[in-house]
Parts: sequence; C-alpha cells; structure tokens
Amino acid sequence: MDFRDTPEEAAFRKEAAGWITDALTGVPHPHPANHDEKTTNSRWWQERLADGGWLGITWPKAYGGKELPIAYEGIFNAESARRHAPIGINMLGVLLAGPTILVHGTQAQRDHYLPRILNGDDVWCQGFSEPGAGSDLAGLRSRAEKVDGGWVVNGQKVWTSFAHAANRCMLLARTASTDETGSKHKGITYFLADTDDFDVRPLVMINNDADFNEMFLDDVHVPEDRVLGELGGGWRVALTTLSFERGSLAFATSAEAEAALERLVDRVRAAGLADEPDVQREIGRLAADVRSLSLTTMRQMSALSHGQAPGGDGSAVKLAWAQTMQAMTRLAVRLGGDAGVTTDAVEDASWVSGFLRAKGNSVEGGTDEVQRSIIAERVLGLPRSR
Amino acid sequence: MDAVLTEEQQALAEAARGLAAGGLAGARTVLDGGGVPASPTQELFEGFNGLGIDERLGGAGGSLVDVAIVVRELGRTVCPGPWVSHQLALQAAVAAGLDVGEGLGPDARWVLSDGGLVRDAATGTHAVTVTGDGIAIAPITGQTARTPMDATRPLAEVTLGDPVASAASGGRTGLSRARAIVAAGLCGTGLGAVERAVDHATQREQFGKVIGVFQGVSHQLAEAWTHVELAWSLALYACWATEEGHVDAAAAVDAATAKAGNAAIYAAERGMQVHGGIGITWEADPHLFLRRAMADDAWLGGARDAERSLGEALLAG
Repeated sequence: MDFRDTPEEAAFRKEAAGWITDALTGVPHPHPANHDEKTTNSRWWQERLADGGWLGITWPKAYGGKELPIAYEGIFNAESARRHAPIGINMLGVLLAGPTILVHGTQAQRDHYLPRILNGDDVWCQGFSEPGAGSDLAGLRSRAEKVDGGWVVNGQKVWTSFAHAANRCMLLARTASTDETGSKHKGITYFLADTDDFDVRPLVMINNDADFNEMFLDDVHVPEDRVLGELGGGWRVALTTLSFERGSLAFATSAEAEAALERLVDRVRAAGLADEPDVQREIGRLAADVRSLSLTTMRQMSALSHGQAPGGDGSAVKLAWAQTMQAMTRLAVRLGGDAGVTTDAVEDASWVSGFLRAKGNSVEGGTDEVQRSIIAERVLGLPRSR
Repeated sequence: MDAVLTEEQQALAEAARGLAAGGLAGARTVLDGGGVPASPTQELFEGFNGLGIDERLGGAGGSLVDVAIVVRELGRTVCPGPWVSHQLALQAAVAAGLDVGEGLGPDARWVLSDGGLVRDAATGTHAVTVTGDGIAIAPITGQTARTPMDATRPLAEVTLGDPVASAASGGRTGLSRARAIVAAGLCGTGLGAVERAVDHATQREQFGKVIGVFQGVSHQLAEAWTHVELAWSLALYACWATEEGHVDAAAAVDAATAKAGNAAIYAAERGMQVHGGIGITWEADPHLFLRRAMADDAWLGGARDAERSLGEALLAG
C-alpha cells in the first residue's frame, strides 16, 4: 500500500504541472462568460496540448503516444483540473475514440484516424444516447440501411458534447432489428461517421449554457469502411468506449471536486463565516467526501495496473462525486444569503451557474440509479432488476 | 503510486477473516449476558500482538495499515474482545516514545483513555491516558462499570495508580494513531452490515421474488456500500500517512473518522431497514451492527467532532 508517486510519476507530475501553469497564462478568456468563449478556450487548449506533446499519453509510440501507464494520464488530468484548465475540444477523441479504435480498429482505420486525433485535424463527438435510449442505451433506434458502397443512417441523438465543433462521430445505429437478432444487444453497429451531413442543434441547459447538443440524422451516408469492429457487434465496441469513460476521466472529476472545494473555502472566508462551528462542520464533511474521491480513484487505478478487473469503485466514485458536487455548489449559493441568489456579481453568478450545472452530474455519464444498479449487481451480487 | 494491498497484506486480511469468522456468534453470546469467548481473543494476542510496532521495540513488525486490515475484519463480524483496545493503547504509547515492553507481555491488557469512559477496562491491567498532549501509563486500581449500548464494547470509569511511565508530549500523535484504527474498524462494521443485508435480500421472498431484485432494496445497499468503500480509502490513507509522518496525517485521520463513522451508521441503518420486521427484533443481527457503529463512532471523539476539526483547520488555512 503506497499512495506516493513513484520517482518517475513525481517527475512527470512536476513537468506536467509546470507546463500547464505556463501554458495557461495565455488562455484567451480567463473567465469565459458564454459558450462561445468556452469553445474558443477549448480549441486553443487542444492546440497547446498538441504542440506540447501531451496528447495520447497512454497511446503506443507507433501512433505518436507516450506509451505510459494509465496513472500518468490520470496525473495529467488531475493537474489540469486543479489549475482550472479548459477541456480540450477533442477530449473525446483522445480519451475515448482513439483508444477504442486502437482496440477494435483495422490497421487501415488506425493509420487513418489516430494521427488526426493527436494533430488536431479531427474533433470527435459520441453519438450514443437517443431520446428513447438513455439509461437503456441498447434500446437505441437509429437505423442504418445497406446501400451500394455503404450505409444510410436515419435517427436522432441527444446529449452530444462537442457536436457543435466535431467533424467525426462515434455513432451507434441498428443494422439489424431486435426482431431479427432476438436480442437488443445484437444488431447494433459502431460507425466512425463524418458529421458533415448531421443537423446539429444546441440544447440549452438550465444554467443557460449549451454544453450538449441534439443531432438529427436524415439519410446520412456512411461509407463501407467506417464500421468499427464487427457488423452488428457494436455493443461490445461501445462497452469498450464506456470503460474508458470510467477510467482516467475519474482523476479529472475528483480534481474538479478538489478545485471546487478550494473555491468554496475561499467563499466561506470571504463571507466571514470561517469561525462558525456549523459551517466548519459542513466544510469538514465535504472535505472528507472530496478527499475520498481521489483516494478511491488512486486505489482503482493501482488495481487496474496490477491487472485486476474493474470493480465497482468507478461507479462508487461517480455516484459520490455527483452528490458532493451538488452539495458543495448548493452550500456556496446558500451561504450567500440574498446576494447568493442574485447573478449580478461574477462570483455569485458563477456559483449559481455551477449549482444549476451540477444537477446534471447525477444524470450524465450514467445516472445515479444506473450506478447503484451496477454496484448492486456486480459488487454485491444482487439479482438483476430488469 | 501503488495503492493496493500487498500480497502479504491480502494474506493477513485472509487470516484475520478466518479468526473473525465466529465474531457474530461471540457478539450474540456477550449481548445475551455471557462472557467474551476465548476465541479469537486468545489467537489474536498470541499471533498478532504488537502488530504495527517495530520488532526492535518488541513488536510484531508491520505497519499501521496492517493493524487497520485486522481491525476491519474484526469490525466486519462485530467481534468482541479486548484485543483492539490493547492495540490502540500500545500504538498511542509507542507513538509518544514510551516503552511498551511491559504491554507486549502475554498477560498485559492495556486500554486507552482520552479522559472519557474507557472501553474494555474489566479485563484491563493498565490504562494509557492522553491528557492534552501529555500521555501516561498507569495501573488500573479500580473501576465502575457503566451499562453500554454495545455490550461488546464494555464501558467503565477507571481509577488509576501512580504512572509507571509518562511523557509531556506525543499524546495527540498517539491519539491520532489510535483514531485511524477505530476508523478502520468502523469501515468493517459498515461492510459487514451491508453483507448481512445482501444475504437476507437474496433469500427473503416477497411478491414471488427475492427482495434483492427490487431497486428500493438494492439501491439502499449500493449506496451504503459506496460510502463504506470510500471511507475505507480514507482509513487506509490515514494509516499510511500517519505511518509515513506525512504533513496531512492529522487531517487524513479526521477525514477518515468523519466518513467512517457516518458511513458505518448509515450502512447499519440501511441494513436493518432491508431486513424489514425481523431486523428490529432482538433475535436478528442488524442491531449488533448498529450498536457497534454507534459505540465506535463515539470512541475517542466521533464523526461530528472530526468534521468540525477538519473544517476548522481547512478554513484557518
């Protein structure tokens, strides 16, 4: 049991932290006021990451990566979140699409897509969820019909981050109906689609932000060579993508919680409430929760690097992270009293927006209910409820 | 970073699990007025006494993480017996630089006092008492037993003879070491409560199905497991950081104490609820876990104090 960085990890962390701090001095919008400014920051950050050689940390050297263990990607993501770095515009390409293509892609697909992810030519989005297929993802209905030279796809996708900026999409669609295959998990195909002909519309969230989009696919042509993995075997490929989602991203989310706690502590001090015993207790409780997220993620990553199969820790962290983010932002707003529920001052507005945004944390990336079911079934061995 | 149990630590957990297997039966005996069974107390004193204390000081070697691993397994079955108290007292004394050679003898039964009621005094020979940052070892010369909520954690007021050893400082460090171990035990109790409820939920049938199939049942247990598992990360880190003399060790122990106490009580309550009517009867086991969780949360200052202390330190910067 050793929570310390190895000398190599410590050196990497130091180098990464130094580079991130320097690079961030040039951020176009230090306090992005709207979605456009956020997007500008994200594009800019993606370029910096590419220039600095910080993309594809776990990827093979043959594809331009650093070929380091997943812990290093976790370290980089944590140091980035700690310094409030923007999210790279092609985060999904680097963390999800690329690694999935490495596992399931043909040599031609790897050679074509992987360099374009690291050099910034391509930006990826993830076309999984649909209006009728959220938690029940395998219930998706988008349909791909075989035509000469490829497929024609019709359907609707929702909750698509980065779709407004993306030119490529990890797209799930049915190439055979459930009636034909006898199982909703069979007959789904995973396409590496171009988004040129997608109709992308921003989805305005309760904090007036547009982090997500809807995508309408109306007779979109996808060429033959864009099937990733087996035809009709896309569910297995999708599970690979989802496993990467619970992986190194967990470090970024726990670091995000640590950064939010720091800001919350500042707010309590500024409000002159640092000596209030009841506030101290609330802050202490949240601090313990926040710390438990990163420590559990460290245990999880260490277990993975020892070749152990993923347990329920990823779901536990996701579940507790959402609760903790919601509790911290709620407390920050409430501590402000009347001023807390105004949005005139930048600080107040930022917490109100953060509070409203955090409501999504218990839904996105697998709802609380889905996480609890995963734990109940895979960790506790309770019977499936559906 | 290599935040996993080593093979030796996994073997230690396995061995402790074996010893603690009859813990719940022992707890039942004690609850119904019987004495603490000889096993596994005897085996623990013979095989694991002075665990986490340097062999040069007469200990069994290993680290505080090793102690946490064993104590968690004992908490998992609400195992009764004075071995945990003895280790807390030894750990506090050794942390303050006091000689624990006497305490490692076969018949020594030390207990730890922070000025409040003392656990396991009935079989105790000496008390290690922390007052402010001071610490002293003194023989127990008299005691008045109190009626404990958890019979497996007997409580008493003690009177002490002249100290046989003392130090003006190191008491707080010693207490912090002991609290990290209490947190580990609470994680075990929370886990055990969830495990017993899972057993029940996979056997008990209603509406023609085992009740574990209902999300109203399974999600409570998943939630409880989540918080217990996260608390265990904090307890492991608290023990590791304390052993390493890490700058944030005190905060880490507060964090572990805070989350472990809350999580264990929550898990015991959820476990009881899942048992339904049988869960609130004397004959069923859920109240053993609930009593233990409440009693250990009160040991050396519980979650509420720890939350406040952690928040205060953080806000003071």
